[in-house]
Amino acid sequence: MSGRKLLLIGFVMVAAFELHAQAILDGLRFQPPGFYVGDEVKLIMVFKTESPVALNLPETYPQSDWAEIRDISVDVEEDRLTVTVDFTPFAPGTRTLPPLELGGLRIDGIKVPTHSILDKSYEGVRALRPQLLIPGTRLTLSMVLSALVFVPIFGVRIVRRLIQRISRFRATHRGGRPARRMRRLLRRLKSAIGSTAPALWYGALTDGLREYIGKRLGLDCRSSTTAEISLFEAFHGAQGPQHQILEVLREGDMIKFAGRFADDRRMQDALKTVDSAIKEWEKIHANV
Amino acid sequence: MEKANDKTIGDAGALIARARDEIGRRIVGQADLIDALLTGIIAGGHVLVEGVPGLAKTQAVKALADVTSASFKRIQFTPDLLPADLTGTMIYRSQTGEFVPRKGPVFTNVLLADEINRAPAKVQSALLEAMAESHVTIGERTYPLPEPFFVMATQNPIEQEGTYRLPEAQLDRFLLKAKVEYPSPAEELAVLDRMVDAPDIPLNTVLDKEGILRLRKAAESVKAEESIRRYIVSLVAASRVKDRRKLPFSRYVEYGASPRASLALYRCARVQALYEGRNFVLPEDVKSVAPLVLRHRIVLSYEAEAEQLDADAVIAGLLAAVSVP
Repeated sequence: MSGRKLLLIGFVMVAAFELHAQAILDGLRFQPPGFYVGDEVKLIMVFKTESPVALNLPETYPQSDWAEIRDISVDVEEDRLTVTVDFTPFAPGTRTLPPLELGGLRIDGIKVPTHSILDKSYEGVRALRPQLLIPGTRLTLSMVLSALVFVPIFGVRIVRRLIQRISRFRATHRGGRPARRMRRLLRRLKSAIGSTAPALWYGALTDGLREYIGKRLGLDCRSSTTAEISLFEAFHGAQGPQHQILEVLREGDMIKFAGRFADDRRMQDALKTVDSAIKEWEKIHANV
Repeated sequence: MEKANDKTIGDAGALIARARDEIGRRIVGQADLIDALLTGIIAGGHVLVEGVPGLAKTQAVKALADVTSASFKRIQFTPDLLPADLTGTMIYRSQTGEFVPRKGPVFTNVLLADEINRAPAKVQSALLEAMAESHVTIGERTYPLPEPFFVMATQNPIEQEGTYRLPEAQLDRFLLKAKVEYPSPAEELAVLDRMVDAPDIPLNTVLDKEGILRLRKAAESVKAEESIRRYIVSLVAASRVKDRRKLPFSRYVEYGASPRASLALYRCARVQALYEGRNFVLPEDVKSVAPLVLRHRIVLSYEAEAEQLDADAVIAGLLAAVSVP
């Protein structure tokens, strides 16, 4: 038992107990020794008696606004008298038990020290408190609110960046599409050398070239003749890839329309020329 | 064989260049008109020339007649002209008491039908029949027209009052329709200088009848691959397409060109190749003669007229829509 509790008990013992002359309080203890508001407590009081005391337990127990007395029992021995009071305190602090009239024995002024888990002492019945939140509710709410505010902001930014990246990717992908298509055609034409008539072979090559030129210049070149293509600004006096392409177109015209002969080697050379010209043009296009 | 053909083409090219230069001594500019006239005479077709008065249409034809040493006659078409004035008629000879034919001015190598749209339809029809058949019937006898027979008809696009518009079927008989535009200021200045110094410049004969026939043979020897022939047919067929979704320009065309247009394109493209000194036709040859061949064979729709589009604009759309081989 702690020193504080012993001091309290001593204080209770020394406190004014007004007993009848026949019984003297010999000992007093609480069970449990330290208790709190709402606990069921037994108060055991031992009296010394010099002569027999006529006891009479009350039919109704005394009422109190801070404690409920549930039971009172008396145990009589030769020169001792043990009174046990079962009660439940409802208020913290040291309070006086209501006087108990037990016939020939009157118990009064018993101090009951009730502890409280709260710091404040009892201040009467408090008004209704607002509904308590489940622990973590505030955090959750703040997180939800933050999410509601920031997710759209960040979401828009993220989506915008995503769109930009996709557009860039698509632009790059689209930008390279004419060259890819042309290279696929070159691969097909490579495998067709020897099995396709030169005029038809060159027809397919020049058609592909016209489509490629059209995509690169943003024009529809399918109906443009070689002479017309040579007048395009991009081809005017050009010595780069455009010049090489123009040479292949002219060679194609000679084979398609003039009935010039073309062997496999010539076709291979044409493919190489076109391939290198396209590589070079793609580099120029990428830098623009 | 190939070398011989190359020589023929080379000679033909040189001959054409000489004829061009010679005509150019009298006619300033108008290179397209001169080329159209030469194309007509080499391809064996007739040319309709449209242009406002004073653009040397008649001078150009006269110059062509002068350099070809061919017989040349001019008929001024007027509303009171009769078919017999053109083709000829049977006249009664009192000395012998019999009807004898009197051949009209159509019996010539080069005929200038000036302002053809001023004569009534029956006269136009008589001439156009002669152009198509290359012979004329007088009385009960049919007389062939001299070879080469070349008609250049002119018409004025303005002053439509009192004129007889050539029907589409008759227009189709012309191989080409050339448009004569105003000369540039520099060309007009050269005209002034030339007319002041020598108003009537004599021209040398560089193309005789045999020369013309040689040029025709050379043109016939020009090769046009199947892909070119297909391209020609595609172009003409596209003018007849009515599906606006496929060919947006088709809404401007009421009636497309006839198969005669394909033949004309084929013949003219070969002559164009000859001009370039080639013995084979390229798509650009077809494209360069397409406006000349097609502009009078396409009947424009109301929408084209509403949008003030002429046949050349529609033909440009047609050429842009059909892929070259």
